[in-house]
Order: sequence, then C-alpha cells, then structure tokens
Amino acid sequence: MEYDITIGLEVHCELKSTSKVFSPSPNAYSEKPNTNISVIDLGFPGILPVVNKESIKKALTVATALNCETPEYMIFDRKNYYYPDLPKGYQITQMHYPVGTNGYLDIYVEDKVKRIYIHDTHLEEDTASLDHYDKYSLIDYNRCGVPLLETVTEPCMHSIDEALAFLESLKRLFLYTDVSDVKVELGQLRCDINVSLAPKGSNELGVKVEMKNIISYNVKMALESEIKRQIQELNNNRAIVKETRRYDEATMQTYRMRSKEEAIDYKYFIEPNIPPIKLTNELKKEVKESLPELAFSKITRYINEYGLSLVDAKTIAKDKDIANYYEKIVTSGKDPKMVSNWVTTRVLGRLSKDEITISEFNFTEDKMIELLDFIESGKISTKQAKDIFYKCIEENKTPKKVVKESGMEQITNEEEIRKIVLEVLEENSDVAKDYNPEKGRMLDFFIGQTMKKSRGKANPGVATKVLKEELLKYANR
Amino acid sequence: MITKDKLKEYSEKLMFRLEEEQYDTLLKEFDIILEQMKLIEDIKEIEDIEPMTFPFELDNVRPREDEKIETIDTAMALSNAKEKIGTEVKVPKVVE
Repeated sequence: MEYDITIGLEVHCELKSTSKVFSPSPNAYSEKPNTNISVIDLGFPGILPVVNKESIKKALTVATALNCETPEYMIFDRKNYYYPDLPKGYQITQMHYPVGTNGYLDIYVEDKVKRIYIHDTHLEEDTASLDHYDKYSLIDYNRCGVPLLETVTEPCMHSIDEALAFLESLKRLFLYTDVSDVKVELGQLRCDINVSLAPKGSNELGVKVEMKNIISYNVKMALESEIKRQIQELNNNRAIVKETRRYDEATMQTYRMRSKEEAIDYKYFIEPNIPPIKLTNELKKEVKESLPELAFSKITRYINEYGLSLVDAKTIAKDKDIANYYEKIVTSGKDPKMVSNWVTTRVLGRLSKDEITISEFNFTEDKMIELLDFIESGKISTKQAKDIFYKCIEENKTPKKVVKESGMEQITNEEEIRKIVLEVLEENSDVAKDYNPEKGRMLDFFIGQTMKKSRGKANPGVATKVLKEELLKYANR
Repeated sequence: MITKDKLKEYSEKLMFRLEEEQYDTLLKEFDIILEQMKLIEDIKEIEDIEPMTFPFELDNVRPREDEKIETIDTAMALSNAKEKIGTEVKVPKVVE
C-alpha cells in the first residue's frame, strides 16, 4: 500500500549573545563543566530573571525574516516539569504569546519553490546538559539559560527531501541574519520531528508520532527509519500509536519514550517574574530595515538576473560571505557567469582543501577582479590565470605582481607577434614554402613553434591570425 | 472528585512518593481547597474579565543590556551537590 507522508518540525536554535537570556552569566561554550553559571541558572531560591535585550532583538529578527506577525508585548510562560536538567523545575518559554506567529519561508526543493508555513517561533531558555554513564548521570549546568529560539512549522512537508531542504534553509536564515553560529557539532541546532502516514489520497492525517531532540545531522536517518517502521506497522494491520519516540544513533532506529496517556501535563502559566516588555514600533522597524537579503531571494536573483544555473546559484548563496564575495566581484562589472565559474570551482575548491572560510582566504575580491581583468584584456590565457591564482595564494601576492615577476603577461600586440612569426618562418622556410591552407596540421606546427619561441607568451588568437597572413605571403613568393 | 488513587497517580507523574498517612492528610487538605474553589465559582459576571497576570499595567519595563557578566564560583555552586565527579554534579542514572 502507498502512503502520504506528513512532516512537521520544531527546530531549536541557540542564539548568540554575550550573556544568557535571563541571567548575566556568559553565553559561551566551555569545555570545563559548571563554569559559565549564575544563581539564576541554578534556580536558587529568590532569584529574579531579567530578559536580555539582545535575545529579544534576535528573536524578533527571525520572526520578521520568517514573515511572522509579531505581538505588541514580549510575554513569557512557565512550562513546568521535573527533570535533572531543569533546576528550577520549570522552563521559561513562550506559549501564549510567541514572538512570531503565522509566518512562512519560501524554499527551493530541488528545482521547485515550496512555501513552508510557520506556526510560531518563540524565545526560551536551554536546559543543562546530561552525560549518561552505566550507573549514574552527570550534570553540567553551563548550557542552562542559553537563549534558545524554537521555530514550529505547520505539518506541511510531505517528503524527507522537503524537510531537509527546509532545515537547511532555516539554518541559512539563522546564519544570514547572524543570530546564531549554528554549530551543529555543539548541538546548537536540534529538532523535534512529527511524522504521520495516511493512505494515499486520504483527506485526513494519520496518527502523529513525535521524535524528540534529534541533532540536525541525524534528521534524515531518523525520518527514514521512522517512516519505514510506520509503513511496516500499517502494512501488517497494526495501528500506529500516538507516542513520543527517541532516535538512537548507534542502532539508527527509533524507540518508544512515552505514549499519549503518559504525556506530561506542563501546566503552563504566564511567568509572573517577568513583566510584559513592549516591542515598540521603532524596534520592529529597526529590525525590519536591518534584515539582509536572504538566500532564497539571492538564489532567485542570481538565476533571473545573472543567468546562473540553480545549482551554481544555490552553491554561492549557501554561505552569506561567499555570496558577498561573489557579488562584490560581479558589481565591479565582471561577467556573472565567469565569476560564478571561478567561485564555485577554484575558490570553493581551495577553501575546502585548506579547510578555511572565505574571510580567512587571502585571495580577496580585489585580487580576483585584477585576475579577471588580465583575462579579459587577453594579457593572460585562462590556463595561465589558474596558475597565477594558485601562485597568488601560495605566496600571498597580487596577480599583478605574479604576472610581472614570472613574465607571464601575454604578447597581444600584432606587430610584436609578427616579428616572432617571421623569425619562425625563416627558420622553417622549407616547410613554410609548401604551406597549404587546407592542411590544418601544418598551421598547428607553426603555432607550436611561435608559442615556443615566445616562451608561451604570444596570444594564441593573434598568433594564428598573423601566421595565416604571413604563411600565405610566404607560399605565394 | 479527588480520590487517594488520583493523588497517587499525580504524585507518580510529578515524580514523588508519599507515605500512606501523608496521602490521607493531603486528601483532607484537598477538601478544604475544593471548598474554597467553590467560593470563587460563586462570583458572578466574570465571563468577560481577562485573567489578571500582572497587578500593574507597566509600559516602561526595560530589558537588560547584553553587557555585564557575572558568574558564581564553580566550587561554591557544587557545594550544594550531594555527590560530584570532577566539576559535574552526580545524580542517579536518569535514562534507561
């Protein structure tokens, strides 16, 4: 039997800031447990959380970038549950009045545009991290109170590809808006995944199963494994149970955590310790005006205005700094496709080889513009340009300097080339006098000789033209 | 209707357990609580009243600037812990 898959995601992203969202301890990763903590993070009696302005601004930035409606006031709620990673016995979050609601994000799934609807995005605090051993667990409170933004989609994705494309686009949005470093390896991007299967063409959704706390790089495998499990259950006429499951990285399978009956009642109520904070129109305007052009818009523009392929456009827009590098060169007047070729092959190849980012790359935009100038004016060939590119990087020099030092600059002046050509013809007069324009191989021989004599510096196009003229004269003597 | 079984079910969910006589005491306390709730139920014409979350209507609450850093000493933080390993707090294993 065939099934329609429906997926909804709840994506948690740790936001950047100097101090934590409700306390003045550092929002920074530390190898040493329990160093970046305050009495507020530890939930000591009598504590008073005070919201960090920067976290509000970043949350509002994402809400705006996701085309959400934003509330008049920032209001928080308490989500009550007991677990050792939550010293206060409740998490401060936003349940009733999230910072963003009813939004959307347009994304590319393969070559199609898909609109992903956002139910809400809300600001909350992260919990402590637990390490589990055979007989005990250890608690590090460093992560307690790190600002966390949870973005909840509608159940509007219908394939693993769509879910992954959305996750990638959302990650890019966080990076473009500079709200987070999105260090996946540090668990800065984690998901809860809701997935249900219904008979193909059915109007109703199937029974929803939730998978909790999946690190973003495990989303694909968790979805594959859970969908496979649900298909097997349904094909064997076993009903899917509404439950929460966890994904085990080692076995690559999902396991039941709790059923609907055991669902936790979080007893949400408005956090009385934090008075409502007005989100002024000035702040909303400031946030809106400071939003950068996002990846989706860039990709679309690169295709429509610059004529790039979807693949190249996506590759460039994947990283904001790469996109800025590319655009700076293009706006200097260089051919967008030629620049795209250089960026997507040579530049990205080199960054990957050296394991560095574009901001650490010594071949700056200005150097690339200089190099492309040389190619455009015909002073160097594309092949030579590649050599110069690598030499510039190795020796941290400008293309101008490398060209000058290595004497690589092409001879494009016709008369200069003619001098060389005439010398070549004199030296090979036996062959030259038998020149027949229909015999291409003879011309190739003379081009080769001319290149050799000019030590590779003669512009091949000009050399060919001059050779044809002079060979005809020679043969007609 | 609150029964002893209900109290046991809730305490299980909230992850604590009581002695039998403590459940009896709690049950008696609930009778008082429920009676007091009835008093509130008798208040008329409150359907259109918004629940009050904050006693004052303030429009001038300012969030904190993201500048000042304050931490407490690790040793002091850990002094509350019954058991520790290194600089981490040791608790009974919380996953199966």
